[in-house]
Amino acid sequence: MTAEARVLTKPGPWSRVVGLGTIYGKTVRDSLRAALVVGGVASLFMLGTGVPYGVSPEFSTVELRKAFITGLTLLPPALRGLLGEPINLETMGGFLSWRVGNFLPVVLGLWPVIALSGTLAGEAAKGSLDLLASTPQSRRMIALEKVAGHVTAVILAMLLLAATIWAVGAFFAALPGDEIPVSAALGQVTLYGLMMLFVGAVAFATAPFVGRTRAAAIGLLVLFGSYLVESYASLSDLLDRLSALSFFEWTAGHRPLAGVTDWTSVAILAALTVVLFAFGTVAFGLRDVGAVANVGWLRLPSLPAGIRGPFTRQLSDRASLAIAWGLGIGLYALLVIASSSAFSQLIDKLPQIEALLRSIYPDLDLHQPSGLLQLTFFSFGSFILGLAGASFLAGWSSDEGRRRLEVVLSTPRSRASWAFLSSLGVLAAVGLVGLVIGAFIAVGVANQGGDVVQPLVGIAVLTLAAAGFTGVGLAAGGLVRLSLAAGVTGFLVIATLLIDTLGAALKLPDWVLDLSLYRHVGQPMAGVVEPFGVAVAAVMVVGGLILCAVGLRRRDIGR
Amino acid sequence: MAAIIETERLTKSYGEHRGIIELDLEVGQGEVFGFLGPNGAGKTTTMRVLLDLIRPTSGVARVFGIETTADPVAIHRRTGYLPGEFDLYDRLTGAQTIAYFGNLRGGVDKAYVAELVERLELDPSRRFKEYSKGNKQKVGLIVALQHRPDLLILDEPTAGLDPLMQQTFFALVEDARRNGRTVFLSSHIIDEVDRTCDRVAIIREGRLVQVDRIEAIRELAFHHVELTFGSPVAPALFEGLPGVSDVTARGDVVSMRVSGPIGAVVTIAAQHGIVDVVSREPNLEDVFLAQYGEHPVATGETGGEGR
Repeated sequence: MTAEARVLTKPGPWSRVVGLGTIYGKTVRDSLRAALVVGGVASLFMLGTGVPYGVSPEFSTVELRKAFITGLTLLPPALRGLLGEPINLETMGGFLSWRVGNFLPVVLGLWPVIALSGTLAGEAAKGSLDLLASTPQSRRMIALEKVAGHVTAVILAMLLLAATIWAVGAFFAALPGDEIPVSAALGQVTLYGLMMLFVGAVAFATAPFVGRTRAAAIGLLVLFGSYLVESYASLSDLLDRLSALSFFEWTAGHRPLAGVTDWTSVAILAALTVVLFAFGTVAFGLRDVGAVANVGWLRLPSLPAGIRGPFTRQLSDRASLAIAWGLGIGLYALLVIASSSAFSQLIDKLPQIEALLRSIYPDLDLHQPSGLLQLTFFSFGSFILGLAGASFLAGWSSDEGRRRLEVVLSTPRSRASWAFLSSLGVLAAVGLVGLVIGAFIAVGVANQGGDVVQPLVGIAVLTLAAAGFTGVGLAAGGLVRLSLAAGVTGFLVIATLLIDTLGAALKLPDWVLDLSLYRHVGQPMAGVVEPFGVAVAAVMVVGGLILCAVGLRRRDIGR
Repeated sequence: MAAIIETERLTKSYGEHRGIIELDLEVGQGEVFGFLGPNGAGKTTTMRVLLDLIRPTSGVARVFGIETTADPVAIHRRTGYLPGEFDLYDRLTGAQTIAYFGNLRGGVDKAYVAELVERLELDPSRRFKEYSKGNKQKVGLIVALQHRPDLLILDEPTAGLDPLMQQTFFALVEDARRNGRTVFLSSHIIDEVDRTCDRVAIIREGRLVQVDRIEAIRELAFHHVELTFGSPVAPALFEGLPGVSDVTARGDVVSMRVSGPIGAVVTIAAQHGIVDVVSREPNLEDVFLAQYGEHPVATGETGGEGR
């Protein structure tokens, strides 16, 4: 290069940290919004749980709290399973740790898995990584800067959460000991952050070999598998043995909010995370950019290519993911069903628990698997099923985002027809998830000698409800732009979960609680179906289809 | 002339799929070197190996005398690359995209970037996702050129550019040549290579089949010869002559392909009352089609002799 006098651009210090000055800075910059959302959602869980604990009369004295704990410790694993270990529940920190602590890393873990599986593989797939790798940065440095950017984003999200946890203790403490020291909040979020990064590191380490989608699937499998295995370890010897592989199990003794720490387990998790990141970084440096090992065999069953029209095309493209969702949720349902006999025996021995549950769920036959499914599967299952619908919409919207839709609509196919048929394909994918879950439930319940029809009706209703949420996303996509669809449905599903789980505790007005669709469908897993809720879901589906078709006819394509 | 790019028996295979096979190539400093071939011939694979984006299965590639797998960062520091297909960051504007890559290079000359933006008539304020294909290509070109690299590796650089912008691109390549920089560009647009390149290599099914100066390649190829007589002449008179093929007759006109000296054809024609002779000089397209069509090039350097 000639050595003329030139004014060279120079990135400022700030843009090196959070801007376009470095790969690290750009990664942080791109992740800031997500970090705020994740930190905000996690904070909402803490606020929604901690505030009622602090202000509710049910927890206003030590005696009331102890009575609650006594009842709780009697609950069988099937009911306690998805919550954390009950440690020091008579304090705000202990209660937060128990009620939210185990479940929260599962929700939060989705983010790093998706982000870190795609941070390099996603860029490779779209070609921008070639340009990035042709700059004077070594491959390892590119990978390291990206990882460091994501780690920074997770730390920011966790700092926000730690501040919220501290604030909950500081402002809503009702009894001595409710205050949460900053060190405890930081200790707890350190574990959350590491759990998030661990599953993200699993996805990151596998992505250079198997590509983005499979790496994300492996990360999610580790996340959900570890969570469920640890939660239900007491149900069978097999699960108990498997739980030794669960990082939820390894770190179950570290609950700084409850006053219990196990930093050794945290250090081991941190070391494993570092090893996985290092492995992924070295693998990225050694392998061809964008190359994926020949792992065609590593895939879920799918439908034929689907080239007859928009319906089959859409359904075919979503089928693998639908089957994956179905397998995951179906296995979870199977775990619940497998514990039904033990649960039945247990409540026979503990009549006070049965009385307590009957007072809340008078119509449930708790000796039937269907009753247990309603009790333990309905809420989480419906949430995950709703998220499945949002994931299908994300795929559906790529037709417009990647400009395939322009090609499709250049054929003698009307917009309305494409919108209607492709939307039906998305809804059919939701139906496919329901079918797979239904198959698992049918086999499981029949094996237990229970009534198969009731839970199958329940799954049909849950599937319809998820289709309803998906329908709202379809409408938003058709009316505004397709890329809006997944976000709208995801927001509705999460908002509904928050209303269902926290609304009553927060003493929200009835009209707010009534916004939850699931409040109006009855107890469908146990065969109790309210027609109103079903009708509302059906209207959401049909209305969504119509609005999508009408909207797409009226607006520009490719916005 | 110092060699900027050298490959020795460079091979890249993708499992069962062919990439490039035993490629021997040498590109000198200040050359504009064209890499011609149909889709899937191995052009992009070669470029990606040169940048160490993918690693050779066997053989060696050197850029600036540095083995590509040994110190790719040193190569990248002096290289500008435009991929054949790329999709950058949707939410960044053109200016931000250019600035980002400038920052990753440790700073670039602001005035020169502004000049490039002006010459390519890019509106840098728009988001990348809002750009047309041609404007995305302009962003890619600026990213590749902004640090005045010693070597430009450009994969189908004019794809999506309108004819006026193609002229601007040709001028930019000419500037690079004038400043002693080396340009290695792939294309399947023959006119583009014809206009810009000093030398050209033709790659077919992963193998290098021809490397030479453009003029030499033209000379190596056959001529289309059209002979007009006073009355119809039997085509059999010309069949069997050395270098003659595809003889056809239509009325008083006999057409044929002739490789090498044309003297024997003219002698026979003169004996049968020739009225007119038209011999069309081959262009690069003829060579290209001969390489990929039914008619092999009769003579010329083949089989990976770089220079």
